[in-house]
Amino acid sequence: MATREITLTGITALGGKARGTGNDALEAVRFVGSCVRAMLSLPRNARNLSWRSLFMQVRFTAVDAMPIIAGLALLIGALVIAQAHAQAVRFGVSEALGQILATVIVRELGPLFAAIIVVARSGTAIASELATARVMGEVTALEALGVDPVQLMVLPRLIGSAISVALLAMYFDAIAITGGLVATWLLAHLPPGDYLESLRLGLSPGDVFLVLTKGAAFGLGTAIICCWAGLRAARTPAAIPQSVTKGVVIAMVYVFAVSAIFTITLALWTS
Amino acid sequence: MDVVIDFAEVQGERSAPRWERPVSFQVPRGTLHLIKTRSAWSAPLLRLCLGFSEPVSGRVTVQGVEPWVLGRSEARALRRTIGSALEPDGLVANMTLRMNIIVPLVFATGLSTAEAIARTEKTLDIMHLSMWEHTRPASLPAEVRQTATLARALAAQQPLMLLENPLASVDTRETRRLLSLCRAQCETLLIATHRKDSILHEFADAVWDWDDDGFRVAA
Repeated sequence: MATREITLTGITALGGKARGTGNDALEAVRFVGSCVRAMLSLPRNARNLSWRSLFMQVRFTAVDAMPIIAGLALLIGALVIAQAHAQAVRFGVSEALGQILATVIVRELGPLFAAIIVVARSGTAIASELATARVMGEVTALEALGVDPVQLMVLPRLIGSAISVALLAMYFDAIAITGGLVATWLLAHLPPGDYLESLRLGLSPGDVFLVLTKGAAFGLGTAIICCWAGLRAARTPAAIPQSVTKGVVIAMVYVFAVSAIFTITLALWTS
Repeated sequence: MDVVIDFAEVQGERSAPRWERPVSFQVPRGTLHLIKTRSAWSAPLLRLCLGFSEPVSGRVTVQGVEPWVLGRSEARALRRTIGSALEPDGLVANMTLRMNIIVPLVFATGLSTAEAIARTEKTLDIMHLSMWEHTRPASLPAEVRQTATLARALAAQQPLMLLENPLASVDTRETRRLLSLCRAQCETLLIATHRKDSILHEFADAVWDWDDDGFRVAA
């Protein structure tokens, strides 16, 4: 009898969990739908975008992150070159250092690191700010007055993040290239002219488009995930850190997954 | 009789504790109804009116429609015809008091920024809040926050207002002045209060008591 009850309780709990997960997924899809609808209505409805919030978002996400991105980019540029130099000398391809940098950093690590920094800085800020607004009843009060929280609170963060990560990825690449230039000069004694020529051969105008697109996709997705995590917080203070953790973890997985999709698609496209 | 709010045999929200006895009442157009109750009951009552939740039994009708069956955009359209001040006040922490009034006017009422600013300044003036307009909610005294919440609801100039325990910390004289403002500006009002004094009774067309003994006309 007791075993049967335990089994039934287990099945009930499992069913409840599955239903909860299903509801969560449905809610997430609905939220993404509202965001897409709000973005599509923007050209008709530009007056209803909170421009102040958009500028604040770009300032916090992009401008305030520039020093840390610069430091990281210099280090990554120099480190990749230092590691690649030893192998390049072994195989006698020192002149290819610029191309290695173009492939590894410009296309892959630049957008990826910019996105990781943004998830860590702005993703946490977005999730905690919106979760606090939820807990304090701000979101409910605005909804009660007929304000669409997606229009007011989410849209400026989405656009701001997409612009910011795209620009930060370009900025990261520019600084990393400079770091690589210094490293090749000091380690491989490669004249800067040769390094830049090698870099020119490894890069194409399409790479600028790729970096901007990747950055925008990372920024947009990160902001959607963190806004969703914040806005669905339960109305208790303990829900704030939980929302932040959830948002950041999912955003990190998203960034790596999208990066992999971009790389595989590009590899298939060019092969 | 034109009924604006109609509760018929409602026993609370779905997925929440049921009320012991079902609640039925009607608020006709052009009246102020006062419900004296506790916060555990006033919050679900107003949430049901605004379509945030589904009644577990019975039927809730507001302005001729059942709010909970509406889709998101229809529910938003309905809420845009209602001025509401709930608990907690929900003033946005990172906006000044002035912006807290301007933003809903632009985003919900559809006023241009210039019109919203003009209406906000007028509202702040009549509510005696002008000196606090550049202050953020966290720095406002309790009575000013409550007045500000009422100001935000009034600024929308809607014919129906739902107020949850309004002006609880505001002194009697000021409460009387502010309520007469609401009465003059708003056609129909439903107020749920936890106040013990009878100041709100002066303005009410009907007063209800709602406690463990049920929902009934106040003595």
